[in-house]
Amino acid sequence: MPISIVPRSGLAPSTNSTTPSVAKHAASPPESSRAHDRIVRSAAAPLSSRPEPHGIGIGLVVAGALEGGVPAVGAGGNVSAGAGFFYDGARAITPGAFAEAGGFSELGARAAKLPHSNAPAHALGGFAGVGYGIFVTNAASAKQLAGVSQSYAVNVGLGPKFSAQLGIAGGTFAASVTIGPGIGVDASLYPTQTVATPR
Amino acid sequence: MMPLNPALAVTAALVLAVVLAQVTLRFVYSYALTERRFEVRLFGRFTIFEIARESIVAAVPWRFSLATLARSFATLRLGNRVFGRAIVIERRANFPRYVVVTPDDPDALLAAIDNDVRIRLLRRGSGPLS
Repeated sequence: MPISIVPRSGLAPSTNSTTPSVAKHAASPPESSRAHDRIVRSAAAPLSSRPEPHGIGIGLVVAGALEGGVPAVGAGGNVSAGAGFFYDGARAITPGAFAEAGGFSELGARAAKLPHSNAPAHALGGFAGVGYGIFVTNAASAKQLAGVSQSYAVNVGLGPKFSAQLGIAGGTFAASVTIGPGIGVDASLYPTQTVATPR
Repeated sequence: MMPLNPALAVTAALVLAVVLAQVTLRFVYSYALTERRFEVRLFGRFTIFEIARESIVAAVPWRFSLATLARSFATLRLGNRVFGRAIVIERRANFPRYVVVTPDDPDALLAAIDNDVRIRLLRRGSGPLS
């Protein structure tokens, strides 16, 4: 947490450790006031900038995908939704749910992605299918899954009878395996947007 | 708390998903052979896919081969259990041409479709399949 860099004595670090813009204004107010300001600024920092401890989550997920492509040409999209329980390793087990969607199209150097992202988007092969299964994540809560992440998916015929979709997404990873009707085989990567509840 | 190993997580998810599919998928969608059609029904009630029995060219137990592997892009995988015999239904002039199913009684389905094919051939004046 940024707040932990403030010395317990209330004294600010030397101006050498601050940015030039901060150092320019740091001379006028008293030391204790500057330390207080820093604490207030840290407390007001967005939640997303603070690293949260990971945990473990597991639950059920339903998913569908329609993708196809060869190198430099392709399009696809997938949607999934899941619900389960998350353990933060210390306090409590909490229920949570999420929904995720993403899509892309590419034609040579031109590419459109939803959500917008600079991350690469490709598909190799072709697949259409739906299924349900299990997700496992290192998220301590459902809200850690929220946001834009890069998804990697492999859609294959697991034996002759049904298709299995394996997807891995994000720095806080969530791996899911779903099994259900499908046709084709492919591998893909593209950005996806996840919303979660509780937030 | 110990960090979650991604490889272990994927393996655990795969094992659990296979168990879940083996136990519950047949209740999500199942099969019915009516007088005119082979149907795939959602929750046993809503027909989500059907094949006219007249359009079925053959039905054979699925066996691994390079040919079946090559046909994977023309094979609709509609199995509803992981462990169980799979039957490949070949349709006439349709996409996907092949449909894989895992009925409760594979032998009964094979016999029924084989009977259909024989009757059609007899009607056309050909002899029965040897």
